[in-house]
Amino acid sequence: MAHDHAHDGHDHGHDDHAHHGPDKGIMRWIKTTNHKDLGTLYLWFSAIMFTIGGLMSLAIRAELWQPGLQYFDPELFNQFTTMHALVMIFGGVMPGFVGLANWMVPMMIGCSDLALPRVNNWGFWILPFAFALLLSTFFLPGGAPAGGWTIYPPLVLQTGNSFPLLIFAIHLMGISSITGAINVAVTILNMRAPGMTLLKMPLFAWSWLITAYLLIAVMPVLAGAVTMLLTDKYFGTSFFNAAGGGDPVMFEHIFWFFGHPEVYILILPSFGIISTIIPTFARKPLFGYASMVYAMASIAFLSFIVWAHHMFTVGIPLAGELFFMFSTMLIAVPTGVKVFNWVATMWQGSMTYETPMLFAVAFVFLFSIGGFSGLMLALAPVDFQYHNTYFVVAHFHYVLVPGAVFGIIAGVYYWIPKWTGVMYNETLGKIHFWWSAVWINVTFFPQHFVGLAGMPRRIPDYAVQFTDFNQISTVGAFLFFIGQFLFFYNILRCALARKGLKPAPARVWEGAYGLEWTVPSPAPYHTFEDPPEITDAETPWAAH
Amino acid sequence: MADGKPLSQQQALARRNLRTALWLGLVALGFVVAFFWSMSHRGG
Repeated sequence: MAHDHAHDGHDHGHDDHAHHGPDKGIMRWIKTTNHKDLGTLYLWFSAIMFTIGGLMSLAIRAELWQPGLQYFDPELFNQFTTMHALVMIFGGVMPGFVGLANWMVPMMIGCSDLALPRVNNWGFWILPFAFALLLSTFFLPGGAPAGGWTIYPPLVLQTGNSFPLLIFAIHLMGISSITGAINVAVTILNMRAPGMTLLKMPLFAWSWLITAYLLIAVMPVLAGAVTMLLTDKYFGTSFFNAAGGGDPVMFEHIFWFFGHPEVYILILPSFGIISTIIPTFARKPLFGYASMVYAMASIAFLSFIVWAHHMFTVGIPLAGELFFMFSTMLIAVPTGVKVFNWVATMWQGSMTYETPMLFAVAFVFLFSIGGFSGLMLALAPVDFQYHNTYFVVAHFHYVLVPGAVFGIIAGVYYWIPKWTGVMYNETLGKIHFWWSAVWINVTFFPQHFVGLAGMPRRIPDYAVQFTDFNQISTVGAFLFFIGQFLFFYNILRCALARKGLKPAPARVWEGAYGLEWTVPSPAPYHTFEDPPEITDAETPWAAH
Repeated sequence: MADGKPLSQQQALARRNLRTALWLGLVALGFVVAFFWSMSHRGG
């Protein structure tokens, strides 16, 4: 704070500090409090974690190429499934969204930086340590955690030396998420440019405000749950130990009270991105802006009262099964509003299909498939058949890969000209899209079939009749993974080797509106030091 | 301020941001305490 105050003293004398660029070398990235630098760091961190998590998924798919044990013993296979989930959720998707929020939210609402820039630096730099801890467990005696990302006791209490590292890593990730969420919420509540009322904010900012509240509410619950696991294992407590008067089912309640809002934390920012991209390439203002905000808020509210649909088979009272079944089905209503609005925005629009739009349209279609299989899983009686099968794996990968991940990819293609000042290669982008869209379905669609036929999840071996569909799935996974290098190449070229690439104008897409398109491309290191004027023309989505 | 000078606009905003952040933290804490309290008073 002393440093800031010293700067404040200069305000009326000379304000050269406002115009200096970033520090040179590695220290720029270690010390930075700039939202654009931290956005970039978050996005690269996310890319590295997606690669590591992706490699684990390939190990899983390779082992499942045929029945019997091929490459890994079952213990290592379970470590891969557990760590794949933790790395993808907490290392890939969440930091990816935080990176996009860092870059875009201040520019969208017309402020110069996040409200708490040093907290922002701290929140990011916790993450490499958290994941170094988590990933280092592969090299410990007994290996990495293998009880599933849901860390249910009593199974997870059998974890060896890696257990305390797992708990500490989750605590660190939680601190990072909570600080990031508080930062985004405070920024949106306090730092909007004059005239940028809440119901004029771009939907990406809205999606992040709602996500931030979810994070603030549920990450401490996860921290509490894992702390109780820690004391159960090492300090003789019996929170979840039936022999000591505790209740292992209690853990499932607490975990999923965090876990279900977490699912929406993983998708709401994508909703915001898609709601930003579709109007641009349909050249029409978003259909039903206010209903989009209310739908996201409803989804967020409902996410707190549906958690036990993850536990239908554990043995909860019939009234509980009914309550959680109906509350879960209720989520289809606001979700339907959103899908309707996206389609209505495209209706009679002057559509063009640049890469971000291709990913956005695929999102609407493929996310809906995941939504429908979710509706099937919500039905308590039939969930007794689906539970713990590959049908569940197919369902949540449909909402997470063509949902959350396609949202991140669409956002990166959409905004990278603004970040770097050059256009990515459109042909390569389109090849990347079609490659991904085909192989992602080849990977995950057959998993519905083997799941319905009874193949359990989280096992390295399976009955011989599931072989064909598993082989199709494995081929799809390897080809999907390879295709992502097209994306990395396209993005790296924009970020590092800008020579010879087409320069991007300030308003990169002719149909794009919002404050971020009023600043030059690449966006200057400091934007909106003086609050911009909010015009009706730049907020066409809002009622005027 | 301790030295009697009025807060600059930037300092005032920094204080407001800190206050909002602490409030959000407090609300989260209250929510979590309420959740664990209600969970520890289940029937049966």
